Amino acid sequence: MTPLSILSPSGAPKQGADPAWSIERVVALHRAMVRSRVLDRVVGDLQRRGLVSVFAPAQGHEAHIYGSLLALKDTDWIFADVRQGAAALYRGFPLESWLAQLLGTRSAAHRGHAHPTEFTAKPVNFVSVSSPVGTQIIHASGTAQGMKARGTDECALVWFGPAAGASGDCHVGLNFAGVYNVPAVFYFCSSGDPSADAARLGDAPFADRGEGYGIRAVRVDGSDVFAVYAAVADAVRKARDGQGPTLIEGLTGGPDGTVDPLARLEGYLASRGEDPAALRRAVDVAFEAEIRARVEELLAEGPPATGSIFEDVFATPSPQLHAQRVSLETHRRRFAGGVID
Amino acid sequence: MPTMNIIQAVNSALDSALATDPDVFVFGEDVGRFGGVFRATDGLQAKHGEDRVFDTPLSEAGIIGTAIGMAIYGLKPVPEIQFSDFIYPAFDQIVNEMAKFRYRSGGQYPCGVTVRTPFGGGIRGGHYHSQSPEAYFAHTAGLKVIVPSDPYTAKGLLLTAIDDPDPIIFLEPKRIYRAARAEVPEEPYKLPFAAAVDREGEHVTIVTYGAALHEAREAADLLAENDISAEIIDVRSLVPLDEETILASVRKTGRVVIVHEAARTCGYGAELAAIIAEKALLHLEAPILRVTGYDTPFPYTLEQQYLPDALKIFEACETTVDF
Repeated sequence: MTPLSILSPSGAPKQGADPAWSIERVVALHRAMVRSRVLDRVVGDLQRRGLVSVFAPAQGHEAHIYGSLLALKDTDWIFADVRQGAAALYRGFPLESWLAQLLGTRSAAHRGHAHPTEFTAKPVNFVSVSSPVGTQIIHASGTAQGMKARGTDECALVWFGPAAGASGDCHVGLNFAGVYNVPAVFYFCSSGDPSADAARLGDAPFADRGEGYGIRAVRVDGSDVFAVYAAVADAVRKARDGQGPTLIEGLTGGPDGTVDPLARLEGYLASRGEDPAALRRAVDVAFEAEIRARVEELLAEGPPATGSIFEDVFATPSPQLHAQRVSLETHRRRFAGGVID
Repeated sequence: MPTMNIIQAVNSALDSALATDPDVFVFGEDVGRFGGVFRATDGLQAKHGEDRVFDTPLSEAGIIGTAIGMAIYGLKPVPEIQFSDFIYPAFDQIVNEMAKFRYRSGGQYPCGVTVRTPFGGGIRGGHYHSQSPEAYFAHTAGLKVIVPSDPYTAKGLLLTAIDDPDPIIFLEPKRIYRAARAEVPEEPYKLPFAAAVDREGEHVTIVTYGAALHEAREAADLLAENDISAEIIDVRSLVPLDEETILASVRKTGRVVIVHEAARTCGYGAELAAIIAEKALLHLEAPILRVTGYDTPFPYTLEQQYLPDALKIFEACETTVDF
């Protein structure tokens, strides 16, 4: 199965394959990918300062992420792996809310219950990320089954990597999706290191697995954002059309070696007469300053109140949880200088 | 009022939930066309359609993962795990996903799944059709654990569970699926997740749940013949636990025997004993005793010797009264 590609490694469109998008649309896409790169860099710095315990950068995966997002409607649901948290921002989730979750500060919507890669962005249909690898593949199938049962035109997209691809839940999720012909897109992102992936998954293309589940599958050059968009858009159209799930194998790094998705898009922009370096500069410095300003504000608000540990276990706290909360707060009143939050 | 067994009561509850709420979905292995290995879903697919009541592949992780995906989408899935002994392939989905979705999303993604599963021994099922896994789930923050003991509680608690916004492990005592019969209203009704005084008594409190409740009743009859008056508490809801009903009885009798089929070490009875010791110590006239399964895998041939029965409960009550 030859991977679908639209751009050559330099970023110039292949013969007859020019996506012919408006320049504004391409610049907006470039902006999103640059912002993602800036976020990776600044969060890396926050990690070194000890403010963020763990983070998985999106670098190298931007074409998977933004090519997919462009093909979805706001009503479609996203089930992400740990690497795609910034996708929520692209869908309109506020930066300060995202950073509050990253830092676990008082205004975090999850009250600091989850660790930095486990984002929840319900207003933009971005389901809580879970560290156990591959579990979300089954959830995507289940949600898509619900979408089908309700007769909506929505679909679910799930990103996962080679570790999840080797999990039992991956087999189970694909099997259920094939059995119930659900409107879902299963997007596998390779690691970019073929030998490492072969050590986990064997040598055969991951997309070959689709046939065994009766699921249509395609391979795509995963550093070519236009190719990813085309593959996901086709999968989404078929999902809405009642034609069931698609498995997409997105090859990180591209089939030609280590082609960077952002550099490739910038090559394309240059072929359209734009100055990519100038576009990048226009986004980079301002966005970093914005992130750093928001981080300082959030650090000033401090951690969530002590009692928040006990919230959201159940819709209504049980008497046992209430008693435990009172016990901890009483303890802190005595031993933490009267501070309970 | 019709007389039903537990299977019929469960069927009646599911039928009523499916009829009144389009968000309810019932599924599992052999649940659809065949109507369930114990017939609990008999006739429901024919009545409510293949989209609402359906068979699944044999994959417990898939059944629960699918239910999670539906629940966070806003539906009310009621999956069945054919025997609780086979729930472990779904353990990660239950413990790390279903139980934590509300918590890790700060309440934004509630996960109102009701997992029905038969549990307990006494059906000549050996160690893969007889287990009582309630302690694993009671130990997991975010899960509610509900155990009916007869047809009336089965229907009322199940209807409460299906409408509850939190994930629930609903353990059905399969040994008495057909043996226990009672009058059950045809129309829907709900019972609270609370304990009940099953029988009033003066000298000793037997705290139990599920099929063991019926052994406790038989024991109480034997004790009565020996002038010992036993009060029986049907716990019904392991999480959340209705401590006050249990403690009120302990304060009255001063003696406690806890009964469950599950193995003893770190069994649910250990938690009950700890709570009673913490909150009613000065009311106790004797050590708290437990009548439980043993710390062995569930045996096949000698299962009746493994199970807590009326005579073992009788003996423990006698011991505590004579202390």
